[in-house]
Amino acid sequence: MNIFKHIHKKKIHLIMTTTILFLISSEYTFAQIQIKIATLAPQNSEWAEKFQKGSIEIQERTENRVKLKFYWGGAQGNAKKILQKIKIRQLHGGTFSPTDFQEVYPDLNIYGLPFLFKDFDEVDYVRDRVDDQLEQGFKNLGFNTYGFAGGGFAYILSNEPIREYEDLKNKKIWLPQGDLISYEAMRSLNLLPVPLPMTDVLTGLQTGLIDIVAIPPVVALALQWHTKISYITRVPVLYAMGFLAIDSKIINRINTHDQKVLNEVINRIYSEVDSDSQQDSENAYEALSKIGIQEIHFDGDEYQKLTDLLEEPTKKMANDGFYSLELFNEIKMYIDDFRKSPEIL
Amino acid sequence: MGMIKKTNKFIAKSALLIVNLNFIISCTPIVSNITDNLARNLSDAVLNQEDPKIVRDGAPAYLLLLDSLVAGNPENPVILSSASDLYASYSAIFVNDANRSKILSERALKYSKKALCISYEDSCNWDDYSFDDFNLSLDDFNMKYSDLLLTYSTSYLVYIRSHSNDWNAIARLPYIESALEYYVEKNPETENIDSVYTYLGILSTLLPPALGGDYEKGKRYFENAIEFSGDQNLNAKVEYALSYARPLYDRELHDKLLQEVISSNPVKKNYTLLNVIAKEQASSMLEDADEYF
Repeated sequence: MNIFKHIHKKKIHLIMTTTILFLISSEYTFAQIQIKIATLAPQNSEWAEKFQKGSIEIQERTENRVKLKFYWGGAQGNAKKILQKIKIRQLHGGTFSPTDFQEVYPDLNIYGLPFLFKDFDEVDYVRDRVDDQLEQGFKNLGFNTYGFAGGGFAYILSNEPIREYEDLKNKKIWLPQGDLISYEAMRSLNLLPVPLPMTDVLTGLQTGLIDIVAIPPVVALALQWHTKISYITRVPVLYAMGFLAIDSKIINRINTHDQKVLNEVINRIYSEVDSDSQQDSENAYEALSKIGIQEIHFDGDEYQKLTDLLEEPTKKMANDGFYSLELFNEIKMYIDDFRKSPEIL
Repeated sequence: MGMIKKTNKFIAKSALLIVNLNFIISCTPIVSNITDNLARNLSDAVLNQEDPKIVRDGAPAYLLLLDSLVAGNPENPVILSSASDLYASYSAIFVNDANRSKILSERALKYSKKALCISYEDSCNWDDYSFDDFNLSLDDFNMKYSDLLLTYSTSYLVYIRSHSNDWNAIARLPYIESALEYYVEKNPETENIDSVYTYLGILSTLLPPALGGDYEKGKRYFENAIEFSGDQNLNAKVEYALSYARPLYDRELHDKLLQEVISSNPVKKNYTLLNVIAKEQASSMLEDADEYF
């Protein structure tokens, strides 16, 4: 009897252990993991369409174990709120621009330094060498990212022709709220930056609260700012980009096979968006020209004048912790190499 | 950046038809009696049809008929507009193939531009106008051609929808919104104004509030659309739910509007076909509401 009791106890123990193990393993391999992602993109955008298709592919290829759920159109608040919600696990990811990580990951803003790149070839050359480094930094922050999607160069859009540095002076120039680097750069050039939320820009242009916006043509058209400006100065003010970041904690709950699927699909989407961005930017620029927005070019060596004027301030910003001096110097070195021998691309 | 790329899926497919086919009726007296009767009877038959498949299968023959009329009367704005209307409606409602939709919408726009250009010379150059110049030109527009302006606007919306990868098309959106606002201002009491309000509601809510979309204005437009139709335009409610309630994650309003559509009798004079389509869309939206919200 005692022996039986003992065996019985062992059996119960075994059953319980097996059940617990099964429950644990099932959470990792069978339960559906829903990754909640917030974005400013509206559901009717092409970007959203790509992700909706990608989400279906992920669900099918993981046999319903992994699912992406999107909250569109800024419904979950601005980037700051999204990051707070990720912290308390109400959300798991979001789409961001580098300035959203200014405090925790300042190096990310380095591609967006005003007047750093002259053209897309320089961008490609540098990104081929630096993107991996920047992505690695996200892992240290506890985020997974899937490549950067270029948004093209921001050009100067205005209601009066801007041909030289002097034309920029005493003009109220819009800046996205939180873009500390551009703010500092403008202040160092004795310009008048006016930080405003995006929602106020159209009215700002209409009422004279701002005179100039520097923005990629695709954004100007999508947000219909082209209805309030007359000139576009073809000078590459800064390079814009965006990215998706997902909390590594939820990624780590996904089994290896499914993680592979997730990475493959999202990387592919970002790579597509990124490789289309240059052509897209050109097309949008041409569309602006076709509807009567007059193209202006900087006079003579005005571009060089601005880059020279910014040289010291950009170093100072690095010393002040806006980004690392080491990374800045590395990028400058790549750009110099490329300018000396552009055929190396 | 790079997130807000291109707009698409923004036209109320079915809302187009009611404006366009009724326009064919209103214009037909200028055409020959035979064409007049044919157009009138066919348009009534289409709008009051309860089976969308019959219309889908039958419309191509009518498109060919209108093409032959255009070929015989290439400078007749009424015929050009009628052809544009049907091409736009057919493309928006029944064609899912992207390439076909592009081709059909291009023809619709070509016809409507020509019709307007014949009647209002300044419009011949509208594509090259800046936004301010376009609005100035609208101020001089003779409203006796308002039907042509509406055809131009709706065919342009269908064109933009099928060319959503083309920035030149996207750039036209605010122009068309302006043209429709002008139309509403000058024709506040016109028949089928509810459909124009529906378009305006959709256009006002294309961008989310966080990017400058004016949702309060959009709401007013949708409510006007419902009110002016005497609660008969079920499509206006579906679009209200889709373009306003969904982006704002307002589940209560979303479900309320769609439940009203589901429980309504779709058979209403000149709304039947669109209401049948609206009811189908309402069911499908309610089915995936849990997933969305």
